[in-house]
Amino acid sequence: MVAWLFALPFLVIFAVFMLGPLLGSFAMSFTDLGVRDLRSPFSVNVIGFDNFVALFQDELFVKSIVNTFYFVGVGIPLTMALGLLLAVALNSGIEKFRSVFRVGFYTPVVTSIVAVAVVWKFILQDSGLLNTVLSWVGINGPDWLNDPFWAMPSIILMGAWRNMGTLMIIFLAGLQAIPRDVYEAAEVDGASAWRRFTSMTLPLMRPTLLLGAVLLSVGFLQVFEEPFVMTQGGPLNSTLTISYYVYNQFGYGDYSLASAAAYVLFAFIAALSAVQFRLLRSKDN
Amino acid sequence: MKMRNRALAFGAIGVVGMLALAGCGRADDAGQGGGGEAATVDESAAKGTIEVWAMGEEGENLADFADGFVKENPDAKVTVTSIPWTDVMTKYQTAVAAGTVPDAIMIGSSLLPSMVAAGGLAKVPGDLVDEESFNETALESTEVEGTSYAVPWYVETRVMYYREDLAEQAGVEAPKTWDDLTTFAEAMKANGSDYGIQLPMGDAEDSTQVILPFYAQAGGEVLNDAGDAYAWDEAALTEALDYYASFFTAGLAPMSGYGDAQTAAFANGSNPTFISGPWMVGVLGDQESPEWVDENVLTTPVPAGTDNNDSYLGGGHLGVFEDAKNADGAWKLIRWLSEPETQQEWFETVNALPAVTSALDSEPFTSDPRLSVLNDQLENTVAPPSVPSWNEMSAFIETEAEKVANGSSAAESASAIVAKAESLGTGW
Repeated sequence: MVAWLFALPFLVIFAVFMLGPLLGSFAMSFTDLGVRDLRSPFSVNVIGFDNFVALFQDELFVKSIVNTFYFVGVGIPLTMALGLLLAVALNSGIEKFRSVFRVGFYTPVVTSIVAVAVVWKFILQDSGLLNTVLSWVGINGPDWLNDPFWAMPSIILMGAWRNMGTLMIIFLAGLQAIPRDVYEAAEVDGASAWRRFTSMTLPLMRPTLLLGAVLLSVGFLQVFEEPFVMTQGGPLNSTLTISYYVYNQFGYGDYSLASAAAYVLFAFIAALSAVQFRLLRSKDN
Repeated sequence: MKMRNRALAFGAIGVVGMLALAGCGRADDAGQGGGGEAATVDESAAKGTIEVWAMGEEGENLADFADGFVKENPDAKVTVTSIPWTDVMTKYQTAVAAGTVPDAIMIGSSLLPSMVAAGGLAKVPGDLVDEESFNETALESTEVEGTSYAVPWYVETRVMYYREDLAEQAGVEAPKTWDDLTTFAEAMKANGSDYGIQLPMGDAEDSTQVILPFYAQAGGEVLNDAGDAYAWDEAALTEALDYYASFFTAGLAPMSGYGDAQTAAFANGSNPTFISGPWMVGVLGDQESPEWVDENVLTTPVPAGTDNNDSYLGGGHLGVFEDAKNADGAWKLIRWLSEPETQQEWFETVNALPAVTSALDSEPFTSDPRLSVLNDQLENTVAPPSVPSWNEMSAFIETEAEKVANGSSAAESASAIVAKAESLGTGW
């Protein structure tokens, strides 16, 4: 009883600010509620799955799904590879200044994206730092953020840079949990560094890697900030993601369609997480 | 920047939270505010407290400025709450849904349709102001299907800015027609500039603020006469898109649009032309120096297409809430603000151009070179249509225009826009 009393503040806040809107938007997605219904939200028409049908008939929404999976499909392996690389380097190679590097690589995670975006825009603009450096080796770089082909890779790169620090910390913890003597035994047996990495580190790290993948994919599927601050979904909607589509529909006053799109995104996240948890569990048993 | 969308989206997020709480008391006229008959406002002095919400510089200066009104109406008191532009829709929607409205509110002209759609604005009393006295385009943008929901307060329109010194070097004068503008941009580029003109690109830069005028210049109308459906003229649309795109495909305008270096490119001469509002004089003055602007920057009305030289018209209106406690006082304040003398004084206070045309017939609007260009341009303007679906419609056009600028067919995009307009409807 007392326990419930202590939980009450959280439960009330959760019910009002999470559960209520959650259920509300779920119900909304089956109605035609829009900006005109603001003063009488219960007098809307229930239209069943019409919103969902309309979504998948909307080329733009389909494009936003493709873009989102492009971001996730390239971004997750890239970010995980970078995070693992940093973690392994910090765990084994670098003895001095370890905490300096750790702080350095974690800084992007805690830096405000708005400030970061300004710097990235300068780096990626037509005559920016990146293209200047490329020109030294004779490469004529594109106008990264204004080229429909290169805009998404640029956004992915930024996403990877912003998130690799989190993964580095998680992976570093995982690496440090592996007993040293296992490696020493392998070394005595003559296993090369690469062999030790592929046959020992990776299998032993499997739960940690999957944890990182789940955390990352939930975040990456909802990608919004990077395109919002860098490209506003452009050029030619090449960086328009599902979250961005939801945001735009809200802006247009079509709240029910936006809710439906948000629940499609939710379904993707739930499905991907389920797959990853299954992978995680099957190995444990 | 995409302020309107952001404001709307943030507003909408608030709405989701409100939904559970705001269910009761549905008005029969929900969907379009002001169901009842418009109030009448007499000539007696205003009384009581008048609460006004206003944004930006207007919000900061209106309270002091209204002292003039209080002097004439000693029993009245004006309290102004200054709210940021990005929060307008949030605050509006929350106030309407919760019934905690002020008496009057400043309305960015592009926000009016969303506000009317959400409900809560009262109709403008028929005899409050002389409608003939206002800028016609501004007045139209306060009307929804023939009913007026706000009174125009100030206007702003876009003119062409160019580098006088560089134009002289290039041997060209202010362009008067579309062909002139192309020649002008080519000459600027040939004179050593990287590009000839800055044009906005895509949804992110609200490129319809340029494309809509191009369309009007080619003789197109956005809505039908009744104002209840889009009436895109496919031929004019194709012409406008082709013209817009021609600057990009010919390398006269950068594909990145304005980008982050708009004023810098103008000042260093790498891109010496753009179309923008009166505030750019101040922006350039801050960046370089007011003297530099006086010496090197000329403004001129936008060049004409086959039909006219309409330019984009924006601005601010004032509206009163249906549930206002002191609607009578609020209407009287608005009536006072739209008197020609008040409008002139208001210009002296915040540099907002009068929405009342007779206020423009005097100094400094007739003799100051920059102001008289704006004054001329105000006679030929086009405003976005007052329909809630315009935000989505314009975003669609902006993406289509981006495709054409990248080399796809203007005719195909024009018919895609017509088809989109049909499926969207006006949104009422």
